[in-house]
Amino acid sequence: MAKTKYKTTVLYLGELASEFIDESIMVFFGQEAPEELHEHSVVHEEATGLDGEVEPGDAVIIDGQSYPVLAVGAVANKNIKSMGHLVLKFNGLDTPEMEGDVCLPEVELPKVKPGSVLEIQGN
Amino acid sequence: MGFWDKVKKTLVGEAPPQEEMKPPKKEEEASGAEQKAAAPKKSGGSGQYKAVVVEKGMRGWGGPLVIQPEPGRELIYSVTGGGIHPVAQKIADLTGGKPFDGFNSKAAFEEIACVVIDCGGTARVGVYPMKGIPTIDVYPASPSGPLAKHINEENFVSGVKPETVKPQE
Repeated sequence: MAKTKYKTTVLYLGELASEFIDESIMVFFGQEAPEELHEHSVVHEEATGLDGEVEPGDAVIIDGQSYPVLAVGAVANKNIKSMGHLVLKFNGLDTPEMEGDVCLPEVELPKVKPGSVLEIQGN
Repeated sequence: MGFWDKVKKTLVGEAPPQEEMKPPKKEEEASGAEQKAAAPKKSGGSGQYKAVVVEKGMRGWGGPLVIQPEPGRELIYSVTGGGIHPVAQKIADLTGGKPFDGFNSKAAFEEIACVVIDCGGTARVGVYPMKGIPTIDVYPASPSGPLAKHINEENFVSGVKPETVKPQE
């Protein structure tokens, strides 16, 4: 049965987050991250630390909409654990371009807003 | 005039005037202060800081960057999560700059000599070059993402390890 590996609530979107969103990338940072990183990111408040590791086959669920994880870069898990930093790329790739990437299908991005909930579920 | 008087006269007479003996230090201090006139002098002049050359590592990109802190711009800013990264520590040790954990407290950009990141390639690689801060990535990232336009070989170097940080010769 699927368990929740990670759950977090969006606090706000940085002024320039749309620069990434326009390129089908969502960059998350925990609120403890230095302020200069907030500008381009979706700033969130973790409800839980990461339980285990994010793997291909898991699901990223944003406000109830589920996206299968296609690929996970080599440092993606470390980023989540150390600074609540997650890079979602809606690019449909099964091999990550960058080491921090979590790749999802190439679909329209969900509209996240303050209060949006992101969960990662897996086995 | 006795022998000793002659000796004394010779010695004193030919000794250069005291003023000339002072080392010409003023110029050095002036140029250091000129660059950063408004900066608070925390300890001594700019002479305390040494320069390092930071080269890219395996599969890395950009650089080499020369990093030399100045009075008021002395922070070696580590935005790596989990404390001061060994690369930041080595730069601080060799330059005399001050290691600073970006996750623990805030710093003004003007105080930052360079930033050390462990970025997998999308966000932090661009944010700091955009702010004009020399950026050192311990992962071998190349410019990518919407901020790639801000990244160049003069403000960014990646794949850096403690071994690729060397004193400038």
